[in-house]
Amino acid sequence: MHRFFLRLHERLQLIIIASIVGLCGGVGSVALNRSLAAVFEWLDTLRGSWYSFLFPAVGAALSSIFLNQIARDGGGHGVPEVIYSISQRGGLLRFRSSFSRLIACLLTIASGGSAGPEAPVVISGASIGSNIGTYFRLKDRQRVIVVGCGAAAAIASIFNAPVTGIVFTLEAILGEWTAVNLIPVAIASVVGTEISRILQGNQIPFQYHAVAISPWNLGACLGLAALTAMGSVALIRTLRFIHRHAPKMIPITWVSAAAGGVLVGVIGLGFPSVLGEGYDVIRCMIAENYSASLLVLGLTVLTKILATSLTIGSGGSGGLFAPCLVIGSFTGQFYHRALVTALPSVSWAGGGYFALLGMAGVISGVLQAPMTGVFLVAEITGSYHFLISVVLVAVISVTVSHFFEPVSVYHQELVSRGELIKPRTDRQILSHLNVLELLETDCQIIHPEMRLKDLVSMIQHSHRNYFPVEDSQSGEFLGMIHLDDIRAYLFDPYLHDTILVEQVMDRDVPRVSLEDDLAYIFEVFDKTHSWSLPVVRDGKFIGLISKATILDHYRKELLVNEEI
Amino acid sequence: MLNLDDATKLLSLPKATIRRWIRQGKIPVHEARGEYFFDKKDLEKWARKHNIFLRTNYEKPQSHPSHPEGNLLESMKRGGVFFHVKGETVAEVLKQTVYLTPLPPEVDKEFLVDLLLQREKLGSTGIGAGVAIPHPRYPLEKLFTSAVITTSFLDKPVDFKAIDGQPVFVLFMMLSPTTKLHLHYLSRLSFCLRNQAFTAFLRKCTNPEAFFKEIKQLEASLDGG
Amino acid sequence: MKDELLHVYRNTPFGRETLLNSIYFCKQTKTSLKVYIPEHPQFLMYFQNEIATVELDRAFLRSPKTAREHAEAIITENGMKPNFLEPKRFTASTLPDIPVDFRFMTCPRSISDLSTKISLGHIGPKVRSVIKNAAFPVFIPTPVYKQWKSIAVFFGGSHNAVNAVKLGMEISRCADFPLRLFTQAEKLPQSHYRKILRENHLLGEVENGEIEWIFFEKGKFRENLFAVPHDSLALVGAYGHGVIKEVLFGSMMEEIQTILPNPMLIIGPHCACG
Repeated sequence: MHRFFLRLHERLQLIIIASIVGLCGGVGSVALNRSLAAVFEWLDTLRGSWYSFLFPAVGAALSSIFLNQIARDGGGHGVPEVIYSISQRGGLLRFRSSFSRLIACLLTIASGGSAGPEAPVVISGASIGSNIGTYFRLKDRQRVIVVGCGAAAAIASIFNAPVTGIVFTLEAILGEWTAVNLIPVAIASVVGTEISRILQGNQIPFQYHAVAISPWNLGACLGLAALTAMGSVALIRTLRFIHRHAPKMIPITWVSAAAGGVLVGVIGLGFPSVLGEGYDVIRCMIAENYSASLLVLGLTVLTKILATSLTIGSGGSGGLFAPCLVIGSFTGQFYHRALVTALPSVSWAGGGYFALLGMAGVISGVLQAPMTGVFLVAEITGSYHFLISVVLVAVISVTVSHFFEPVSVYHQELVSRGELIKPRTDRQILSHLNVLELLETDCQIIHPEMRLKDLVSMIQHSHRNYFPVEDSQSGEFLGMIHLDDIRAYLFDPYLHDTILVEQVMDRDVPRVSLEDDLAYIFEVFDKTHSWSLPVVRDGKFIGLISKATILDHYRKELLVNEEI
Repeated sequence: MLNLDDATKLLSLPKATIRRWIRQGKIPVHEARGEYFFDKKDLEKWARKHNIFLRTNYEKPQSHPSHPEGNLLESMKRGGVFFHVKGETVAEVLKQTVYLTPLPPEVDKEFLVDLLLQREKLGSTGIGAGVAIPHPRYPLEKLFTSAVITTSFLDKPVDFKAIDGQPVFVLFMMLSPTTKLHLHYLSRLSFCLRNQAFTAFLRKCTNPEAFFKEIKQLEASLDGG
Repeated sequence: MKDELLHVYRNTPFGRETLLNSIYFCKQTKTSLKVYIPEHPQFLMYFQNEIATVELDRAFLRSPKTAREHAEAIITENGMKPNFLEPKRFTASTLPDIPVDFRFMTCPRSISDLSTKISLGHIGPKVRSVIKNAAFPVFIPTPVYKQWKSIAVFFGGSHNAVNAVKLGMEISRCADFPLRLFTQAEKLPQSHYRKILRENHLLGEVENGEIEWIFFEKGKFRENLFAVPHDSLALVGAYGHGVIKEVLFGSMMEEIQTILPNPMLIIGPHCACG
């Protein structure tokens, strides 16, 4: 079968694999969705009891123990791992990631932790894609696309929103929009959606009945956009604060997750709507069935932000998608209530309308992905009537939050480690090339006690400008001679016998090692204005690295990267 | 079918790069029992598509060796030694020399003389001490496979506007296929001419055998170090 | 490929023996030694088509303060330069990625289980996964420091075994140790193996006596293994016939590692050596 498969055209191969990945990714999300609902329902019967505030703690602790001790998969919400793997590791992901995060997040969310199931389905979809790609012996370039397919199918299936799946993958995961990427990703997304429709029916998650929107409302959007941007920034910063400080205060991960869980449980006693993924509340709001006072709405926004940060930051497992939607809808509702109180004479569109806009605003602001926010809201409500206002809010929210938090929440971890490498950039090419590939070993090695005369006769037969100097006994690298350093003495035959190599050599040339990455080597080049640098290991010279060779390879790398 | 080593030579890239390209799926390859094979046609098509240079013949190019070899004696024997070459002006002696030289039939002799004169216009090839080394302005790439040096002893010394003003009595006309070869022979010839005994010998030389013998000795001392 | 051997240091007396073995190996093969002192309980190795997650035995992380000091002392005492690997990339903040472009890697028979489990016939699952995927041969040292003075290559005719012979020759020339080839005839005449050697341009060395070829026509392989000198490095090809086939029909590597206590160098199916 392999052999037959390998004979197919590359694009056809990708399309077939994309459908398979779409199928598996879709099934994975539906499974998580169903089990979440089932466990949540089962726990609901116990929720009235006095000890129910401990549920999130137990869930978070179990989830952390499962992830770190049983599945032995590193923590985190997973999406940064997918992005890292795509940008630097050719889309390789471990098989265990395809289920570990699903189970961990099931434990966290079903017990009441404030997090969403989307990031876990993204990493499991991506990991399924990666492993299927490897099974079909795909190379890095195609495997990366298949990983994207898995993510797209997962998102499309969990929201019953095919376009959102495509847009999210291209915007947030792959980071580039090309035709080669688009086709398989679209197919996986469609297959994933269809699977979810077959298994659980074609239901629009948040049915919204469009109402007429007056121009006044459009103007009010601007204010909402600013408010959602603030919400996004607040969420990102609180999450980061807790994520940084939780391990310092409580070094054992499962204990810290449990502590976070207790706090969430306590918050949940006062504001039960912050617990769990929170889609029920949104549904009520969109259907205009939710009423609460201005104060309660505002406090809910803040407590939801806090609960989410506590759940995820302390070591629980789950994603930010659902919390963003909840925060967004409460922000919208809050804004609407404030408008009605302040200007009761204007005919405002209902609270549902503003809740929707708020969702788009917060999602876009947190992910730095405006298109994802727009299409998500349009698709989950099954309505395109208010597209103008949604685009407006999403774009402004991204712009404002970008000013405070320039990096998307998925990229933060990578950026802080200096490992965010976007496709088709200079950094990506430099990260592919390594010193070993560029090493020039055809150098003539000289010794410190050589006379200039001998060096001159060597220069006559050499095509190089740099000569490494080694100790003749120990072979240790001592320095370099650059032709420029000795040019002045070259044509003076009287000096040929009197000058020794050690008198003219440059002893403190900067050295680089095989492990250095090219970005660093270029820094050294720039600092020293040198054209070649010696590569040294264990004090011994092993070759030269020069700008000219790098350019040659760099260009070839660019050429093969071109897609035609 | 080519293996990894062949592809390395064909692309003139390190093996590590090609392995990486294989892993990244950037280059068309077949895999069998853990080894890689390349279809030559696929590879050529791919190279064309991506505008990548393939070395068609992956031996080192032979027409231009980096260190030209060959000695003066051989090329002087190819060109011949002539005595009492007639002529009053630079143009006349050059023309005579060209017509005396055994050249392949496809060489346009008038054109060659013209090339030699063009070079003289740029600056005299008379290098002093009565010696001139005329040569065409451009290397004659297609006409020769190796250099040809014709030695003509002039009947009457001719004013070549040499650097030291002395009239020229002997010409070494050098025709070579490449600039590199030209420089190679020029450096060997100038080594000989730096020897004062040799220039003195030239003034009284009358037969080719003695001339070749002298050249052979000088070259031996050059190669011997 | 860097001309280096990767050694993961375990800061225990057992780890010291392993490190001494690695140092001796590096000296004989003229390879540099690169030591990784783990700081996290796991590390990842991204091979061409697979990620190996190596979970470390807890002893690796014990007493991290003295680890570097001890390792440095052992290495310098034995006349080599300490050279430590600092992981530069991380998949997650506690999951360092270890580069895979080494020439060799030292793995004790087990890297994830406690060292008390280390015995003949046991090779841990993580070590196996490294062998299966790595482009470098894996050096499995003896539990106690042992010097070897000759090289024994097990040649069963497979593609990996040919690589093993080539690598064996490289090491024997580099260290100036004699090389012996061991073949157990499996219903095939010697001419069959001779043909494989000729196709790979290795027959010359056998005929001119550079390689001594010991060919067992009779007897059981397990019993014949007694002929392998106690102080030799055993080079064995692994998974040459595909993983499933070897599990079903048994493989030469399994037999050898169950019986032979010698240091071993295992050449996996993806090895780019020879």
